[in-house]
Amino acid sequence: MPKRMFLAILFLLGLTVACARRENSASVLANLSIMPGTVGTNDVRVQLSHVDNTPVVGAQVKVIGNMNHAGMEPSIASLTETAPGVYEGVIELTMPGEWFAIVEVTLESGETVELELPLPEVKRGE
Amino acid sequence: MNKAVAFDLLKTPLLGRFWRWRHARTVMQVPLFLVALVIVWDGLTGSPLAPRNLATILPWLHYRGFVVLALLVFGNAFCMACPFMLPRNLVRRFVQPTRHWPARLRNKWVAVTLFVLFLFIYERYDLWSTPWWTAWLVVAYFAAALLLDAVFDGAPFCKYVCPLGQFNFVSSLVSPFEVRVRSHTVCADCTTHDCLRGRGTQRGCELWLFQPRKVGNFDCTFCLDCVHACPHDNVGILARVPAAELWFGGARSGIGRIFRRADIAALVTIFVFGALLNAFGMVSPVYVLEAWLADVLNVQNETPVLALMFVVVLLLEPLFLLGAAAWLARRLGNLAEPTVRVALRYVYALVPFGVGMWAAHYAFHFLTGFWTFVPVVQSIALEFGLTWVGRPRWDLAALLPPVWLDPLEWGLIGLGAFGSLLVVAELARRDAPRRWLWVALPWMGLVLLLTLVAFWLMGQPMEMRGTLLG
Repeated sequence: MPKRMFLAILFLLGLTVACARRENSASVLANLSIMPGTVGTNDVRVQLSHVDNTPVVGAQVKVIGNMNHAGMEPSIASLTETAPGVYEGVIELTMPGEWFAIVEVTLESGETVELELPLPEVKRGE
Repeated sequence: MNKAVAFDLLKTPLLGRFWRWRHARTVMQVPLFLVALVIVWDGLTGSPLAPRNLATILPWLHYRGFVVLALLVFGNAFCMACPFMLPRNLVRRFVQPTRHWPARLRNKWVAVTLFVLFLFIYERYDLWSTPWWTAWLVVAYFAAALLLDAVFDGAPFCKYVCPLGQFNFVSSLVSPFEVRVRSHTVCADCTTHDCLRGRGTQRGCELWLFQPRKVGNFDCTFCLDCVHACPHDNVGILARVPAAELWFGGARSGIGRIFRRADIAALVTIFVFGALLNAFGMVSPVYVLEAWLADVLNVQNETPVLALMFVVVLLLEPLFLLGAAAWLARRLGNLAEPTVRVALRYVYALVPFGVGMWAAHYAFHFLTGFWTFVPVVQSIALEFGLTWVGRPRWDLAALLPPVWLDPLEWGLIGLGAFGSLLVVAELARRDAPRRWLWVALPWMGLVLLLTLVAFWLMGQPMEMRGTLLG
């Protein structure tokens, strides 16, 4: 019994190291800018295009800002399309530091795409 | 006068029956062992971003949150279900160590050093934001426990090395339950001492705590080996007055007199002042201070700046504050013993405050990020084609509304401070029954000072940068 348990643990340890992860390839490209990049209310602008460089129109876009620290409250912004492929809105950044954004795009076809983008370091406000 | 029988968790219908089962600890360890494997796997192969990886979410939010919660309402639950002991116990079935842990290392100095090193590495290498390093930390923990306990008999890793265990040992001094004998009369007639030596294949206490003379929770992993080894069913998990053991100055089995142990006093000091330092690392003023220190020292590297802060906060500041409080208490109370002895005794009074501070800090992260594991699990499930879990809900995070957090943190710190004041008063009453208030005053002042610092820290704006000089 102990021998079998020991082998089972060795097997699980082996699996832990051996299990590779699948990389997702994005079908949508995004360019994100955020102004002024300080604590408080910020304007967020996302430009979306397909891989053939045509703009992504008519999509529903949500930006979720989060800090690179587990356990922080995320900031969420729903964007509206202001020009073909350009989506804008406001997001509240709650503290200085390292942030990143998850851009959730729901295409007209119903397909959803999730993109992960770094944000410039958020500075203290005035 | 009949002494009231304490409430015994081992006599409760469900929990009691489970814990009395010989394999209960293994059953508790297996799920945590599997979680540890997932942490290592995701940490080494998953997203490098902390909120998107279970290696940073589970240890730095959930583990720490559940640990302090369990310590406050029960006792040393994590050591009880420690996953690092599972492979070690299996190896012990094949390899019986013959060496004894070196006599010179039978104290807490190695653990104190590792505890400080752990806090330093946590800040210097931003473990909270680094899944990869967190995964390797878990691997290193398994390796260290396995290697040390394969070479040396007993449980030297738990007793003399493990920084997490030391954290739990100190915190459990204020826990409401302890493993102890039900009747000393039964023990008086016992000649086999199985709780220490073991019985058949059942281990006795590997941390060398002899139940009839065991006092309190320090060094107790709640492994329940003594419960299973006792042929008289005379060991229980009994309710007690939390923190009351902090004013017990007598001899304790496997430990001695804690008031004469400089190593344990150092551990407690690091525990208390480390709680403040760890929280200080998260707020905006730390970056201002670090930038100023880097300028003064004319360095760009974070290591010497952080090292200087650690020396000041964990060594010089406690030496000054504890020394001053002890000197004043001695003078005001006309105490005969040396200042060092007074400090070695009263430093334990700061434990409830330290627990309150750690609990406030960990509770904040636990409650603000409790649900963050959900989207990460959903994301992993999607990787394996399990689409029925739905799109990851990255907006999920807090368990409680943010407005509840400040009162909760202040309450935990205040409760801890109140506990510390009570322990100070009790110690002073025993030292100088007629002048106890004079003895207590400097220590009460210190508790209040630390509490004000804690409140100030919690009131500061948070700032989370990967590098302090970044």
